[in-house]
Amino acid sequence: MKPEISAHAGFGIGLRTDHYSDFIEHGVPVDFVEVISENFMLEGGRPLRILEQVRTKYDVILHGVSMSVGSACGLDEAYLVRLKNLAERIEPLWISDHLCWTRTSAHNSHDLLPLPLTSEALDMVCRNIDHAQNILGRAMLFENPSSYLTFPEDEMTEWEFITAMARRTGCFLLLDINNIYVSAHNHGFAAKEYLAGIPHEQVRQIHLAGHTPGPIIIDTHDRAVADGVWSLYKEALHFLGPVATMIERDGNIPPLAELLDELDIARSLAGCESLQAVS
Amino acid sequence: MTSLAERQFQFMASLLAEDGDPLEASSSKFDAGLGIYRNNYRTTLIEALSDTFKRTARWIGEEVFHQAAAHHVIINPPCGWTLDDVGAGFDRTLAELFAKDPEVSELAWIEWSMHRAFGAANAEPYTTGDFADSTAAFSDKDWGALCLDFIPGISTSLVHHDVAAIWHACDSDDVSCPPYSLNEPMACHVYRDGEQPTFITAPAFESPALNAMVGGAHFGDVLDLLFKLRPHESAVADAGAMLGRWLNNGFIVAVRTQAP
Repeated sequence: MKPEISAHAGFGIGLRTDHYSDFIEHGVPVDFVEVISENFMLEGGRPLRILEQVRTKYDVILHGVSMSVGSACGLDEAYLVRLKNLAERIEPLWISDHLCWTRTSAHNSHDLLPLPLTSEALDMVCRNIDHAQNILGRAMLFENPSSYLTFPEDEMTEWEFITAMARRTGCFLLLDINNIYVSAHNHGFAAKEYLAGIPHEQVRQIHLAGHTPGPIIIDTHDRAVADGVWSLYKEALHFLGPVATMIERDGNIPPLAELLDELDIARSLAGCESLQAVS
Repeated sequence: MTSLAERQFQFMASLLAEDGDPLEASSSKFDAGLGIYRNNYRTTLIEALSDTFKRTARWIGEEVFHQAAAHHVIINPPCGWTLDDVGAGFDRTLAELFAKDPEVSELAWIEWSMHRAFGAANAEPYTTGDFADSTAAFSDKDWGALCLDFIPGISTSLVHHDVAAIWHACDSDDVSCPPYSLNEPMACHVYRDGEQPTFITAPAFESPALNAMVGGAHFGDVLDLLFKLRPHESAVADAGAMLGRWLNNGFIVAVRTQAP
């Protein structure tokens, strides 16, 4: 049985290189920061030293992009060992990754690729999650992906898939509200039905991010959170209650103050007060 | 092979293919989505190369660099979990593409080696005092059996161009200059100084010497190499000066003797 992950109702942002000095030299009014695990799965050098410094002041979440729990070839054992070593060093609030696949036994796409929503894929994902959680010795969070295509062999909805995955593995969920918005638009399902259909008690974190509009919406994380995503966040809070929420920006990184303003919108929608900067 | 495995191999093959052939029996909607993944794949890898090889890109021009990077990811699709490895072999790709401009691959080799050094394990370099203490009681035989442990991430190669001048030209965006050919090759050592990757040039004999000692050779083997190149006394003096440079630059982290 994996340890339970306690609920955390704080607000945070993704730690990006542009803001390292803000976090180390000043007090940034966040309850946690999230980092991309792979950027710190190194032997040594500056990134690890920075992360350890940040960790002395803030709770940290390790968010991965390369576990590839949807891969039919299984997980990369060397990757898991490196991730475990990093987790032991940083003692994160939790470790998360994505419901997707990135690799075959021969190649790695370095992109979050969509899975056919079939019982075969579900079995594979559950086996891989069980293995990862056993190696890491802890339960993980998995994030719903955004996607640009569906497969003709799909047998269930994404929320049915995620519900079964969480029930079978005991994993928790990182709900990306923007990804629901993007996929709902791209595939023509009702985002509210998605929100209603997931196991709410398993959600431990929410991601909010921006996207690029178009006939197919692209999940670019390079602009402010869209109005429609804020509305959906409000809907999600109705189902979930207080839950750790963060702004995720990966491109066109703005000054930190801009992201903190967005985080204040999230706080306001959740009925929470803004934190004051501690310098 | 399961149908999921088959599906993933087909999907990956479609991402990796140079042209964008649709998957068998796919719909136009599926193909439109697949096109986005193909574009994401290519863009991510080329951006990773651009981040790692900033000066090489400045030296050859952004557009040409983009074409070279696209060529590299087509012929060397990534295998490992880390994007950091995408630049492996890019200097060799550039050596083929720019056979008449060999300074391009030398510059790329330096950037790649610095990239590797950036995340290498931490280690405390020996000071000259540490070294003096460790070797104070050495006999001639001990010197011959001397082995050195080097700072993680160090690498060396021969260069045939004034790479320091090219580096600074790239920094100042003054890339219209000639390729700075050297009359004789030099060694170029890449390492991390504290947290900062850097490189230095040195006499050419240091490159095979450093490579040999990183690979576990004894100091006596290096002396034998030098004796073949120059008179005995000069070789001993050169070897001593080389050790001094390595110490002063923080290359050495441990000293031990090991019977040949």
